[in-house]
Amino acid sequence: MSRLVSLYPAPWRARYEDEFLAVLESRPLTLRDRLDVVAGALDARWHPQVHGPERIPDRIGYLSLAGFALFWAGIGVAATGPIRFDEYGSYRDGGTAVPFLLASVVLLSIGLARIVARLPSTARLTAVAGILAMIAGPVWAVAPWHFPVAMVFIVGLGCLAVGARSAGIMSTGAVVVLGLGVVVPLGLMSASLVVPWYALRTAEVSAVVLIAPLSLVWLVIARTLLHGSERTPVVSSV
Amino acid sequence: MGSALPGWGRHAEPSLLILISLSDGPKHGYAIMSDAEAVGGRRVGAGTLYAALARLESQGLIAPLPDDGSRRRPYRLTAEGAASLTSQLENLRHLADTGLDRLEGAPG
Repeated sequence: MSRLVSLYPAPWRARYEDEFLAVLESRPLTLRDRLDVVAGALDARWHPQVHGPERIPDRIGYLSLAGFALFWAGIGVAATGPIRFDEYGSYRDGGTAVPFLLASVVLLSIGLARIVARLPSTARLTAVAGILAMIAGPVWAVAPWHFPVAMVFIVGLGCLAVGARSAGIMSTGAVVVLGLGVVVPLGLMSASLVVPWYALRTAEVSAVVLIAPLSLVWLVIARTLLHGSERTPVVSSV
Repeated sequence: MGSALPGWGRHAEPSLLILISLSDGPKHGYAIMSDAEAVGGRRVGAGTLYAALARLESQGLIAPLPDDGSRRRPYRLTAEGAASLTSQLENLRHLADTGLDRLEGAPG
């Protein structure tokens, strides 16, 4: 039952959760009642009647959005690079995409730095994980063949997201989307190494299937920053 | 009824039932729901009830009584709520009177 109530937005739950649960517990719930609660949760999200504390958006989130655009520009440049020939055959030269990808990851790291800065002082391990991700990201962009660097970036990013969730900086949904953005490409990449899944090894399919979900990371960081933090009440001294 | 709660759509009827339920004194959520079902003649889900209740509270038509530590928080009708309820019921009475008059005057 409390899982159903968790569908409601946080400000609504802060105001009504206790009494709402008391009403739900007062009689057996039918399927129709459960659907009614889900509809109520959607209504509370689309037409919020209860508003939380005022939030201050962090405009650095726009840099993460710019990073998202640069990331896709880099993918576009890489996918349309010139065909080169060498003694092993032909390949598409995506070298000109590196500046785009590097810039996009640097912008992402700036966003990550803002999230690290908002962590409570007790979340030291999360902060270290975030800093490692901030450093590993740009290195990975320049040297994408270094799998350990990729792992440091991904694991650091994951730890930062989970820690930020615990600190109330990131929503559960944001962590799930970020996790999908990282796990789906990694899973498919690993699968393509084990299973003879040749379609995934072509550059064009890789770009869409493996890299597209990764771009969700930029969107999640941008959303987290632009969603902002709660405004601290100011006590005026007279 | 629609003129008193413009734009409330499917929440207008449960809102009216809540206002009617609170018109004879404060009640908590479950009591409102049971009363609304008795008056309206059909089951009112908790999701629907609280969607309407949150609207009524945000519009100042109902207000919670001070928190006494109980999970069952009672609500009361405000002066604005009483005025809105009166207006809605008068509209409904006018509607019913008009319909009944026409039925009585109809040939056959």
